[in-house]
Amino acid sequence: MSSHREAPEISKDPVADSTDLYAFVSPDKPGHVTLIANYVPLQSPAGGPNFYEFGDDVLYEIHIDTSGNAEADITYQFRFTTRVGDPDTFLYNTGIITSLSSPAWNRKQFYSVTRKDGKGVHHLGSNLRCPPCNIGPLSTPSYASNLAQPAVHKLADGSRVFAGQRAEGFYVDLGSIFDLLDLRPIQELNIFAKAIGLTAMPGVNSTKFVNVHSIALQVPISKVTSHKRPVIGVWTTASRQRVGIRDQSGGDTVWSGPHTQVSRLGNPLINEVIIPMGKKDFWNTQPPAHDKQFAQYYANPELAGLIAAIYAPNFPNLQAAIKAGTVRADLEAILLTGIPSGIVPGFTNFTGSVQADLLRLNTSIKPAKSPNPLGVIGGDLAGFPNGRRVFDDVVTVELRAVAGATLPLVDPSFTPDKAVNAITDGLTDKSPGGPYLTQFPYLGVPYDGFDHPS
Amino acid sequence: MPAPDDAAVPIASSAPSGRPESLSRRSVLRGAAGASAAGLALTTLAVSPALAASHARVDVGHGDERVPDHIADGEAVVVHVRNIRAGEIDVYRGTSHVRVVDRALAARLARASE
Repeated sequence: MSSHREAPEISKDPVADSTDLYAFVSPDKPGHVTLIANYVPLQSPAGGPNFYEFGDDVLYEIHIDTSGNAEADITYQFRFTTRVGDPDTFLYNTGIITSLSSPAWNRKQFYSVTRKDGKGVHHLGSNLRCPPCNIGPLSTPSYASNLAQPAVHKLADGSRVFAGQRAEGFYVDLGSIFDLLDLRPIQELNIFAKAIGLTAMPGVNSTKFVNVHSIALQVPISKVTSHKRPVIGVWTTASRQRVGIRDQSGGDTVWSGPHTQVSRLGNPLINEVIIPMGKKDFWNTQPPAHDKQFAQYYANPELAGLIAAIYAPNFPNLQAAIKAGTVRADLEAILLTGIPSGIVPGFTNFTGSVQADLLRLNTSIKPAKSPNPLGVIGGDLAGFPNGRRVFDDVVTVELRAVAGATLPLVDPSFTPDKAVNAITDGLTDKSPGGPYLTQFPYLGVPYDGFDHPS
Repeated sequence: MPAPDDAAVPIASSAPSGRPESLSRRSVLRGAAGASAAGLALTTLAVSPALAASHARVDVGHGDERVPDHIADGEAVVVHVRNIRAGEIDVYRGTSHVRVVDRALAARLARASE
């Protein structure tokens, strides 16, 4: 998926598993940037009695590079604490949860927000309340107004924050992609599907009706940019203390030592389909500033060869470029340095020559009045890879880009194959089970367990 | 940019940046402050070159069983003997990590694990 369970080790540690990262100029507050980091993937809404939550033992961070060196100039840190009201019941809630302070809610989670920047460490909020998970209409009635909205907090610097359960906004036909890249709408072109007579079918959203946990910040643009540079590079990390001891006496794990990074995310799908199996766990531990060591996988992506081979003979130009050893400078630019000015008319999100997997957002680009989920390749400069909005179709964008759609940006002599524009997993921003929100935190109300039992 | 851990002391690890090191469950001993680990008699505490400038030699007191006042009761001190014969020992407390080299102590800990 985008980055859900994308590496062997982190797939066993869901609370530290970063799944998606979003960065966009807020459409309803264009002087602000919204940053959203999602964790705890693929939550079945009926997850009781132990409903989902953030890890009290995980340090969550959102980093911002404002100077173009791929180092964090600003870091927001989030630390969570769970408090149990009555340990002598097995219940998450003993009655109707009517508010964030409801005594019927037995397992509440709180968090603090700290900002680190060149001026020091700033404690922006503490004892902030998360909302409960959306259990069902009896336990969590009027979820959006009574529980989710009150969990949007104003921080000491005027920013707003939300941390808690949300509806999964990312959509992908995962079942088709990892079944030998059998994109259902064009499976009659897939050599394996064609061999057994399969024909075109609609896509199926594998992430429909699942939830996720989001950390969302809405910050004035002036607080996350500097030196009159409108382009920022964003990534999120999760870190754990280096030592954990399972203590038999109390049942808890005792953690000790400095934090070490176990998960990170900038652009979507990178550790998923660009980084090879043997490097995925290592990639998760590395800072973006060290990403030059992975540049070869962007320059010669395995996925491009798979598309050309599995959909042969429909990608002759792509196949020829691969045979010629063409370095995919287009992908390196889009994903590792940002797009320099002069390539896409009226647009740049170039941060500098340091190759780093960052989600790069040009904050001077205004939100689109009629957004196109295909973002920049769809003519909408306010969308991915200029940051990423919650509804952007990053699967189609990246599949098409890897298949050669963006190669002419750096090699005008290359003509993309006609089949490029047919590539899709058949999903759109209407594929999720519920609507996105038009205001912070933008991701939809989480699906409740009663009405979405599986 | 500051380290993620506000109170972190310099890390004496030689590990590659950001890469977690595998820990042998058998070689990790846990002791609360005031218990065996903190009470072990260390004659000299040699540290890695990264810390050499500020902590060239630390005498923690041979046979001294007093616990420093700033260490709270119940606070865990975790000791990982990385290499018994080389005497490399990692000591974790709170969000700090220091590496000491003490072959005698490493040997004692190894014997204690039997």
